[in-house]
Amino acid sequence: MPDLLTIINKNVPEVFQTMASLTATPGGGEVDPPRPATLHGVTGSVSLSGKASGIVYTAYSQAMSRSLTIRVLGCESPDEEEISDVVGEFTNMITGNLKSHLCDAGFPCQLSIPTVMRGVDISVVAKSAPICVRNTFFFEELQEELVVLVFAKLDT
Amino acid sequence: MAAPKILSVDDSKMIQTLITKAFTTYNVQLCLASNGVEGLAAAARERPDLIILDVTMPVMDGVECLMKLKSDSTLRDIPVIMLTAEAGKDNVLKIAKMGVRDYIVKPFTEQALIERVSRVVDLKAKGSDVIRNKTIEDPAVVMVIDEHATIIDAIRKGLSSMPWKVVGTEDCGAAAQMMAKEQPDIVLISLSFPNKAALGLFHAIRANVRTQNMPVLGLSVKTATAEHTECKNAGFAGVVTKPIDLADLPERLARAMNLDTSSRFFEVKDTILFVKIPAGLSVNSASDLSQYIEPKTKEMVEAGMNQLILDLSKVDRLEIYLIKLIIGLVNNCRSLDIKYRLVGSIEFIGQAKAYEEMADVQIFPTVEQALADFDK
Repeated sequence: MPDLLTIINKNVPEVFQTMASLTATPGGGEVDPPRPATLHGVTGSVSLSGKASGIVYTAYSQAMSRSLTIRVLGCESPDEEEISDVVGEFTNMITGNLKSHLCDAGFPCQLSIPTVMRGVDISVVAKSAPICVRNTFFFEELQEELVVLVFAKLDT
Repeated sequence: MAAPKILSVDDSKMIQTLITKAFTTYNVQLCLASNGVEGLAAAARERPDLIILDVTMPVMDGVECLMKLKSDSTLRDIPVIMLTAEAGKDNVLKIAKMGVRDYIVKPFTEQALIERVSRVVDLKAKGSDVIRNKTIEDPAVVMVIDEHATIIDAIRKGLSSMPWKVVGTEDCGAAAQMMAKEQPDIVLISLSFPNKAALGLFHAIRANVRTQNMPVLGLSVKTATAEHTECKNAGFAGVVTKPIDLADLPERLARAMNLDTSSRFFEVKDTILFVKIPAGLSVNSASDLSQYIEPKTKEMVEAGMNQLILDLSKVDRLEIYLIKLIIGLVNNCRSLDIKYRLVGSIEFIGQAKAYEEMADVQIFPTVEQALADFDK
């Protein structure tokens, strides 16, 4: 069985380092955290369907999503659409990398197009997904955190 | 040659921004489309030399767009590089089977993008086509990579009269980082680094589109002929042998950098073109000079001038190649109706008399006398 926490702990820092030259340090992580999970701020999500199904959430604070967008697009005052685009694209890359591992492990699946939502307390749950992992990544340079939450079901 | 046209099809503004930024310093025509439908229309309209196609997009995804491109006889030959966040084996295999030229996995670096694209289209850095216009009086950066600091210092001293900055390192591994910070105009690298490090660095320089045309010269002892052959076969611009002839080095580097060196020889004073032959002019420099004669004399005639002084007063020994140069210039002046006078030392005049080719060429012992003769 693929170890989803190990995969995200490796690929999230890679994505941020390559695309934004930002160092993301993973926290300890949680396997099977309490549900429903609560997320805050600007949250990107991409769904998986196929032998591996589920959903990946990446949750940024408003300030972090803005800082990241400024850094990547090089604009001074990004609008909400631009912020959503960057958050969605990072979520897509993180999920795409996870999908690659799942496919190579014998769980072929498809990705949805990323969606982005905003809120103070976004409660998420995936009843049919027995696997749930969550970790917080710290960005020292920005003094901000990113929460990555994965719900998954693997059909053996 | 027209700049290559590249069509990027991606729904993400972030990716389009990164792609646009990556190509800012290259001569390319970049077109953008935000989904497969727009991409197909843009491909038919623009006929790009390359399409960079994202996989996951709304309206029409990259896979469907690619299938439609391949089924259109007018578009199927356009090379496509797929951009995908999915690097799994099955996905890569699936993409390969669809007839794409290459694929780039997200996240990607700007350098990786440029490298992949440059395998398909001829990318030229902006300004690289004007390098011929650079002259020997322009500033340039010369990088010296040698395990001996004394060699670096000697080259720095040897080039001190030139407007060139010499940067050096004894560490072959550090050179690439230095190049990324400040791109040199030419590199001299010792061939004696272990494990053929010089060749490794040379290949890395050639693989990078920013430096692919940068001249690289090897540094080696004269007797290491196998090394010389190996590096010349690899594509080095040449080998500078140790001990280095520092007097000849500026000319060698100028030639390797394809600099316009004509200002060393040609000068206009009071509507007269002076062609100055420096002391100890080498065969190679004489060859360089001879290439400038025709354009420079044409240029002077077009500018309304018709008097030329060939100043050989610094030449103490008349060699055969110099005679050829003089005769070539004289013939050129005659064909363009340019009034020319030659100036040489008494000793030089004596040497010239011994050559039949110089028999009907009058040489004046001073510039003043030559100028005065124009008024007769």
